[in-house]
Amino acid sequence: MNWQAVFIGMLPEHLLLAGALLLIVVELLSRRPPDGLPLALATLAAAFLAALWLAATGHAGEPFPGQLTVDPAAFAGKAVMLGLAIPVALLARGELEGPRPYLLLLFSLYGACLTLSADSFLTLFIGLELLSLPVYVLVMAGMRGPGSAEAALKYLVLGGTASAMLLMGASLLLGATGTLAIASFAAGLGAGTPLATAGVLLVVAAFFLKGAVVPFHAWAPDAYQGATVPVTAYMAAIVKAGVLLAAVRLFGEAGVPPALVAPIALLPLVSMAWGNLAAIRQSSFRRMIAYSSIAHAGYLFFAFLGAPEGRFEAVAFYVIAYGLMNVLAFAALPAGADDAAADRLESLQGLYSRRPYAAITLGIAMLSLAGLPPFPGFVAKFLIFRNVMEAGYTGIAVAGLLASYLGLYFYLRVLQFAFMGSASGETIPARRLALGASLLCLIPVALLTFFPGWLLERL
Amino acid sequence: MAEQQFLLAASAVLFSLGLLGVIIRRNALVMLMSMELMLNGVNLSLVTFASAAGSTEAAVLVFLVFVVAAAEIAIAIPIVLALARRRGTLDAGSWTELKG
Repeated sequence: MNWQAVFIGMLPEHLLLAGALLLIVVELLSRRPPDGLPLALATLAAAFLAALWLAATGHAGEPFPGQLTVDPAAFAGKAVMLGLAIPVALLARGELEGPRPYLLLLFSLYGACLTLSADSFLTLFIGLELLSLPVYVLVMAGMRGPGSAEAALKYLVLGGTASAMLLMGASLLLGATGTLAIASFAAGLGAGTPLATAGVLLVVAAFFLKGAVVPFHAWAPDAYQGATVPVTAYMAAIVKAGVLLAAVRLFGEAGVPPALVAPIALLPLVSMAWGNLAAIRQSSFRRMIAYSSIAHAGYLFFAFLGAPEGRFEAVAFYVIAYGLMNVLAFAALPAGADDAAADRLESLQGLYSRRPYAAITLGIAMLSLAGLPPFPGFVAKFLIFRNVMEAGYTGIAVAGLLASYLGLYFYLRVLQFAFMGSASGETIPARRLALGASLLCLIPVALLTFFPGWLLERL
Repeated sequence: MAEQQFLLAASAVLFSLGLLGVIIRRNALVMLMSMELMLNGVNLSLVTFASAAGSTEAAVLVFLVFVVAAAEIAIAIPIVLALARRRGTLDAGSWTELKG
């Protein structure tokens, strides 16, 4: 084994692990439960900078040949997720007590980083499980209302089903190609034999389940609503980014063969339409964001129809823009002792007259999620639909665009609540540290709004 | 060869039964059992293909599946206990806190 490659190539992971172990030791040694936030933030910042540095210097290596290899694209993906985790951790202050939620967060991110470097289904499976298992606990950890446990169980059962489908697909691909390397997926795409096609479809279904695409979306609204705000932000921003970036790595250089275009285009298309329509009738903000995330999963999986060259760029830009917007929106939400009441859309009534800054950031987030120019959400959507058009699926792209603008209505409804309603008597308390979290998001959002090309050249 | 086909058919049946159970059964514990059934179907097919392809990696994956399945259940059981205490039932259909 090459120790140097293992040390440098997995530096972000090592830092996360060191931070998590340190957190355990600190908790064991102190009498009162210590505050985990400073240590977690330092760990996240160190891992983020390490990933950024390795991506910028174009480091590539093979810490574990055949199982885990690293390249600049993988480091860029890791930097995206670790960077997004910093404002999410800031949101957790006041919601989740003690060092344990931060511990779970760090372990989950370790799994997310593994998936992006996975070279075989073995590593991919470990990474996805390590990404998901702590999140099941985190959904439960809020325990604000009776919904939390129910949401956690639904998420766990469907997440477990997705893992089983992924493994079954991997096993069938092993039978078809004789290897567990993720390259067997790309080989299976082109093979056209029944065994390989069944394997490919099972793996794709597993990713649709993890990414919440209709008809595999049933867990998302419940899990998003049942969890507390920081956990929902984590699921929306980072879990989704991890799943999608892992899918990009899985598809690799392979295009979608004509025989499989129908399922890979149709389900995301239905997802866009259904997600956007169902979001209209929600009265809970987090549930609305869940349906919006179902629609966005549809746009993201559209990227796989396009040519392999532009795929990573489009998906990475999209998950950056989408994750930033979600965290920005969640940072603007009012905090309240009664979580269910604070989560209602009506509680945003008259937000502008009381906390103008929060209302404006919420407005930016909603307009960008709706995909209106000049916000980054527009560029992100444009990149994906351009790739689909260039691949020759004009009809599918037009249908997708039409479905995507169904979403305008409910995003604008949030704005209507925040800006037009008159303030009722009571004050809306802000989240602690929410200002820091929203500033951390707002600066990259401003950069992406004015200089999207700068980032695209580097992806 | 016939033996291999029989094992693969058995694994497909186990997997499908598990998937069907997760979808249609409403008892929380039965849903978890169905999830395990799916994973066992996977294990059987992994072992079969591993011995056919001579792949050690796939055999190692089988052990990892055991470990992860145990971890999943270790998380699931406390959640089910919390729910059963609160609601007095294991019927997922009667939990209507989250709908819509």
